[in-house]
Amino acid sequence: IGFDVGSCFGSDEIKALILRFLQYYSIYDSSDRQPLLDAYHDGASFSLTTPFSSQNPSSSLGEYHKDSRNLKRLKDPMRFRLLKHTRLNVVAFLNELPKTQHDIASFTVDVNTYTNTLLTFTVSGVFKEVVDGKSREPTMAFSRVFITVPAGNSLCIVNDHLFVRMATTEEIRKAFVAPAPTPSSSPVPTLTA
Amino acid sequence: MASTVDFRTHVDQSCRYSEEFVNIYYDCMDKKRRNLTRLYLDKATLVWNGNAVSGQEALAEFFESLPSSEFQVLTSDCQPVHEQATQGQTTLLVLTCGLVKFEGNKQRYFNQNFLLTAQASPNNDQPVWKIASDCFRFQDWNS
Repeated sequence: IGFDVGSCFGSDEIKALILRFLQYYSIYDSSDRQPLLDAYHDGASFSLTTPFSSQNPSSSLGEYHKDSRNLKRLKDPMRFRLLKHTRLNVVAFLNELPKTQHDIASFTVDVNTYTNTLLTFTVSGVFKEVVDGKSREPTMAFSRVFITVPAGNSLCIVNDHLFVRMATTEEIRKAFVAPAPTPSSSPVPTLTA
Repeated sequence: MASTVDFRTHVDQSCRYSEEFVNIYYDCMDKKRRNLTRLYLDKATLVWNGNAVSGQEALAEFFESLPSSEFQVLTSDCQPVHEQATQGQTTLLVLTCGLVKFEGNKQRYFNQNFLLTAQASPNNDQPVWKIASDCFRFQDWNS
């Protein structure tokens, strides 16, 4: 059970398609998520879950926790209410979630299924909340399943599920450490360790 | 057909099927591992921590190689999959999160998601659900 590897794309063609799709996050991380309407099918569904625990509800997960659709804890009518259905409802709901900054370098992608009519994949990684344009602690981790249908040379989302939890110490250590662009103005010679 | 049933009814049914499936799946995984592949379609794919395993034979071999397990499901969710993606074949997306202890290993958190498709059953009006795809990851897989 120890043989863990990174992303599992299936083929280069699918990889290119998904990497292009992941520009989704540049809109998701912007101040307005409304343009995501273009990414969803009219009959799209969305729901989210957070881990069930007795932890302090005032933690950052609280914003997600109140909408967590955990069938093990919820009965009707909440089960139905927390499943967002139709494109307008999904994007309106996403627009209300806390603003975010995702660490694209942390992403792992697993392709679950690929047919002529559907591409399902799971994206995992870490993100931070953004308040007044500044990212803030703590770091959170997510696992998100997209079910998409082909739309021209891109993908249209029909089902979307988001799982959010607090990041582990190890994930926090590795998060947001991708090298920043080298400042070109610096005349100081760099030393390599 | 799903399209003629109202969405709410469809969602209610999906939740029930999903809960039943989750109970059966992890019970089978922990206690009747030999029967586990019966829950998968012949051409099903499992992606386990980024490793793809396809087809009944490879799946049977893979599950055989896993140490005995104790799964504890903490959350589960389910969505009916839009029929445009499945050519009208009734399909559910089922998601779980929980704790698992494989014998000889420490307890770890996991996320798992399944695509289940409804197979007509000759002597029952309830469909039989089979796993078309399965994606599993430990939450701390890269630490």
